[in-house]
Amino acid sequence: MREVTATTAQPTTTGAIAFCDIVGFTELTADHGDELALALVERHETLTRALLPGGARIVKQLGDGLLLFFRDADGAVDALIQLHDDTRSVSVDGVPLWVRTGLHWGSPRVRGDDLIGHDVNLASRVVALAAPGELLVTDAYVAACPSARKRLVELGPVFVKGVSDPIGVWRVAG
Amino acid sequence: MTIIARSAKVTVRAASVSEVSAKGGSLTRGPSGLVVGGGAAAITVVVPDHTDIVVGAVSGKVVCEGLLGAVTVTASSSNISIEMAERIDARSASGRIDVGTCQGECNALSKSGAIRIGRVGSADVSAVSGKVTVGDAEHANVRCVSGSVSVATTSENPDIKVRTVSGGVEVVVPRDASPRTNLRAKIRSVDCECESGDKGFVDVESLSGRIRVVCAR
Repeated sequence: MREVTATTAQPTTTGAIAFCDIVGFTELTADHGDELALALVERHETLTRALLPGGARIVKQLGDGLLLFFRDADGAVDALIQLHDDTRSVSVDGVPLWVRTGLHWGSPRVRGDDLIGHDVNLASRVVALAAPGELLVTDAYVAACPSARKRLVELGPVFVKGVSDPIGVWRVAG
Repeated sequence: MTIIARSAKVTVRAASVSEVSAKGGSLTRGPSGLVVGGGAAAITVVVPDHTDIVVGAVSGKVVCEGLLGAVTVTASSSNISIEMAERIDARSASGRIDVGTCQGECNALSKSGAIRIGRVGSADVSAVSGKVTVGDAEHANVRCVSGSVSVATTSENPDIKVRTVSGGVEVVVPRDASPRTNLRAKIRSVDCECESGDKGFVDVESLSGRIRVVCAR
């Protein structure tokens, strides 16, 4: 076996990393087909793109979810709250567009247009604990954006898949 | 107080005691209060009645007995059982959630585990494929993709909102209830036994689940 060593350090970028996904996407696709799934994904992306503040971008589409990056911590939470407000009453052919979001602050590696690293993984794990319409944030995000604390409710230390130590998670009150 | 556990069974018992005691885990004082940390061994924590607790767990089982204050439990796959509390936020990605009585607001979330809630002031429940049962709530807001939903109320002025995609919905109201209703199923049937009036609101929409509103016998 040929051994490969990690030698070249990729540049990092610091900011808010969000995973925003569609709840029940697997079940929706199985029950209602790929056309509907595609329509939900497109609607979700269109609504999200319209709300992104300057310095924010959609990093990539991941099946039922979007990986987002924001330079500004305050701007991230404001945009995501607005997104949840906007999607609350949206449906496609009678199927509600239920989205949920996990938001973390960190310094992922930059690889082309992509972001990679532990901080990206954390954001993707936190979203699994969110209810439809809910925005969860990590301790790291709260530290980067102390002004958000007044609208947060603590869920406490939680374990996420693949990470040995618990992380602090907060819910943004509606 | 905060309890952090990995794979063990966690039992929190509220009792008429003045101090917290813990068996099977370490008890330390952190910046935000007492912290019980555990590994693979079962943990039993006894706390004064009405104590607020936060539990973070991976798998195993979380059991809360007696009357607690605000209870927050977040778990990866643990089954969660809470007998009685003032407020509840219980989340498990795949475990079952069982709540007896909650005096105030009860939030419950499980992707695939069943959620069963007894008597609550207000229930906010989210599920994907698990079955949802609410025994008695004056206010209930339930969202579920494919699991079935059953919500009962003894309130004469209920506020019940349910949204499903394919899960069937049954709402049980008191015999003489006459709530305002919005009942919409795009594909399956809608049956409503009660008279439509203006005492409360029963608001149910489903794409392909059957909707039934029945009066208690």
